[in-house]
Amino acid sequence: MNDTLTHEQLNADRASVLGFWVYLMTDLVLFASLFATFMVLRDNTYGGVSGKDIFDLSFALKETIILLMGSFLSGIALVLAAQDKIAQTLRWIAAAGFFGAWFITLEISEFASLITDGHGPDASAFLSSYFTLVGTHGLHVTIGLVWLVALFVAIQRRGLTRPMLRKMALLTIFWHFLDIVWIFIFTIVYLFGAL
Amino acid sequence: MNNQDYMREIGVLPDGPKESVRGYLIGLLLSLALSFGAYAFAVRHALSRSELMGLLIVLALSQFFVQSAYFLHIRRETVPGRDRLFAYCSFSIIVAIVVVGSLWVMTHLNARMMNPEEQMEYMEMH
Amino acid sequence: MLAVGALFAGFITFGGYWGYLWREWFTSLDPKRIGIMYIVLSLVMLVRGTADAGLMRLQQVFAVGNSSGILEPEHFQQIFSAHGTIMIFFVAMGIMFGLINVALPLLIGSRDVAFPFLNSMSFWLFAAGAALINTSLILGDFSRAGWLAYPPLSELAYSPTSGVDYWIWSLQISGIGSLLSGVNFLTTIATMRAKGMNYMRMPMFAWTVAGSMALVVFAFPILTATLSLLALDRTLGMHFFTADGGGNMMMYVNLIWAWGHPEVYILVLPAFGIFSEIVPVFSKKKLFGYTSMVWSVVAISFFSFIVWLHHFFTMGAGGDVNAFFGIMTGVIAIPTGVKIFNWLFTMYRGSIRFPSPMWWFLGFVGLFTIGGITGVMLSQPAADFQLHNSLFLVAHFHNMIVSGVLFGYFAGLTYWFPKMFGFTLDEKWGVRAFWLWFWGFILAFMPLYLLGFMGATRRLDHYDASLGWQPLFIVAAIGAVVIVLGFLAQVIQLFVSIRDRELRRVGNDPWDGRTLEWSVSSPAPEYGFRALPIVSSRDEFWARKHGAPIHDEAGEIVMPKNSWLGIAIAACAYFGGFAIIWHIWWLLALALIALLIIVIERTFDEDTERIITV
Repeated sequence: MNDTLTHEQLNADRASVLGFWVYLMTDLVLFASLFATFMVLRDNTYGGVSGKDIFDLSFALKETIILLMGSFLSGIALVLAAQDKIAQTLRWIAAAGFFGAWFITLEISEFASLITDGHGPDASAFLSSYFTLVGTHGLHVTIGLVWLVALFVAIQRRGLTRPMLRKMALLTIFWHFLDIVWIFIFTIVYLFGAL
Repeated sequence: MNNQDYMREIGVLPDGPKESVRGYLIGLLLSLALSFGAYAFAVRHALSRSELMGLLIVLALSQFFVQSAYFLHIRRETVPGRDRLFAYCSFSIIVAIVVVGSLWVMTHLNARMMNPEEQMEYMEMH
Repeated sequence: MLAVGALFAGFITFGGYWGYLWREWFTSLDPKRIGIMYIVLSLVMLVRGTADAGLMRLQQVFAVGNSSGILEPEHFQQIFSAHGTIMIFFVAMGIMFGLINVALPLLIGSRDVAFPFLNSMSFWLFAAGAALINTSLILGDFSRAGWLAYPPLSELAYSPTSGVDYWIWSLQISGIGSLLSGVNFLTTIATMRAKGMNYMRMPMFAWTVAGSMALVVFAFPILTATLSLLALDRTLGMHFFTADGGGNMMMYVNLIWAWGHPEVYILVLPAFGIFSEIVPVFSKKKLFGYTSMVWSVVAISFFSFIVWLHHFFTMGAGGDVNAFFGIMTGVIAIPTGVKIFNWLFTMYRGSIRFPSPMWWFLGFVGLFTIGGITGVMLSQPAADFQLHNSLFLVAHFHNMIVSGVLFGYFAGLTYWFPKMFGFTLDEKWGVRAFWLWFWGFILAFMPLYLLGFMGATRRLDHYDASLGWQPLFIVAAIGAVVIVLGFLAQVIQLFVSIRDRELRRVGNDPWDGRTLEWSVSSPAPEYGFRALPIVSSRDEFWARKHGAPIHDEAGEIVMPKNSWLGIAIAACAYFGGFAIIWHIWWLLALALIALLIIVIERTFDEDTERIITV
């Protein structure tokens, strides 16, 4: 359905995927720094609350499942896009976005209740590092959602052209990667925290 | 070139639609199982603390490999895939160095810090 | 500085040059142009960094006994903080990215980098960071906490003014630019090498850039994270590194050096690469031990990631930890030594010429080796406990940076100047500049080694007359003057060369080079190669000059269109940073919204290329 694809263009598209991948890896190092900081400061509660006091594991599990669903759905959407099924693609993109938005809403509610209880990020080193690590992840998910909306609108307008497909692929890679980071947040922050 | 081939050529969807969907489903089910499993073990302390932490790490790493394989399609065969695999492995080593290295250094530093009483004594003497 | 800037701006305005500059330079996505802009801006920042150094030397000459010197302590502290920050982030990094932009694509037989728009954006983010740090001269003050701003001194409690915030945000903004450049150049090397140029046929400069950029992508995220944490402490009252609230300031030191050590290798590896290009050309002999050179780059890159604790042996991690990092630090001298020997073996029995790049190389061999040896001394924790934060340390790292990084970059600038501008630099003044820098460096820094042994610490704004240090500080100040004369010689060199440029015009291959950049005209055309080369050996250009058949790929020449969005994004970054520093929250919101709109606009813009017919 598209015009001819030159060798240079294909190479450029491969380079685009590799470049985005390398950028994601740098994000991995960013998270590693935040993880290291969290692990070093997790016991510095300054007389205040610790993980045991504030973490609700079933809530964290719920967040985990929701994010995982979003990641899965975006993958399915990509498979449908590769088959030029535009209407279905848009539906599954919207579904993935719904789960992502649900995740963010849950996270914001958790943060808000902690802050109103006086356990905000300025209360202790533990809380600073908790809010920053989990918040940075949440910020990435939020940016992903904005990107998703923009992509949705663009696909509606331009159809499933090769550039749209490539951009969608990058978005799904982004999402999968964020889910991988969350695995470690779930384990190291929440599960370890409640032990 | 149709979109299906294009996605394979740029290394994003290396398999056909049926295999891809199957892959995503397997990835989803395994990830769900590993997440629930980790949660279940964490709330039901059958083991000692360090054994439990070890198990949870193993479960997390397993899910990491599952998602890398089934969601991110990391594999060796194609040239684009090889570059990404190389990057993935290099960065994982760096992440391990930064995290483990920092923890090693910081626990040593923290262990050798004077406690508040010792600090007061020292300051009074000097 | 303001006066000079105003004069310059006036010259541009009244000469009607703004249009030309905007079209041909500022909005250009041509890496050769972007590279030159990086270099020009870095040399401007070099003036500021050198002025800071001069003031520091003067202060330490006069501030003995009863005299408090020429500067107030608060001012002196800002000056030494600015000196280090500017030299590392806005001079060294800038010249490095400039040279890589100018030379790398041509060396690997490519017309451009992988992401031309990102390239432009990276430069403008660098410029925005420089603009922010220069703004601190006019509005507010600068950090007094040194070039790395250790907490708790850099926390709000002890640095309540805008200074540390300027430091944080100018580094954060230019750091994002650096990170994106790392992604860009790595992807370029991975995907845009000429046909037939497998990795083991790549020029060594490309290998060292690959190593350096790998370090950039590994290390700069750590800087981003650490600066953010300090900013969160200062702006939102968090407690990562504060004295209260459970903060652990040692974690800052740990993280900042986990970035900081790779950073110095990021700077020096391309300098090594430049020498690997220059020495074979001026010895008329292929590089000795190419394979071992490649492995030494890989080794240096890897090892530079497991030595960072040697910057804080004295913080108290204990014998086991110190021993590990000390040994690893000593080990890294080995691949470096391999490289030096390989360059010397390249020269051995070669047909050697001595244009000024070779002088920079020889100066490097002598001085850098001394600096390396002092580094091995410092790598022993027991010795380091005496020498940490003394002038011995200061002498060591200036030794590495000046005779390693700076001499290498000067050699590269001279070597590639004709490719950038079409005429060569005046040799006489170039050699004079070298000798002034060489002897200036010795006079300025060898006394510091002695002072370090005698107990002098760094960042001293005053000392007792009875210590007997003043004579050595006077020698050091004389050395600084000689260095400034060297810099002036370079300015004269540039002036004379430009004045006589018609007489100094050269063709595509002024040095009888070995690599592909010398196969295109000087200056290189916008599209680089008319037909993309197909490569069948190392030193492909040399092989072609000596009989190897030429196979090139003819085809359409597709180049990126100009874009002003890189500038726009950097402007948002500048105003956003300014807004955070001064707590102007509506401005921050505006900048972020504008940024979002611009990014989305650019991402979905599909009309970004044009075809050139030659």
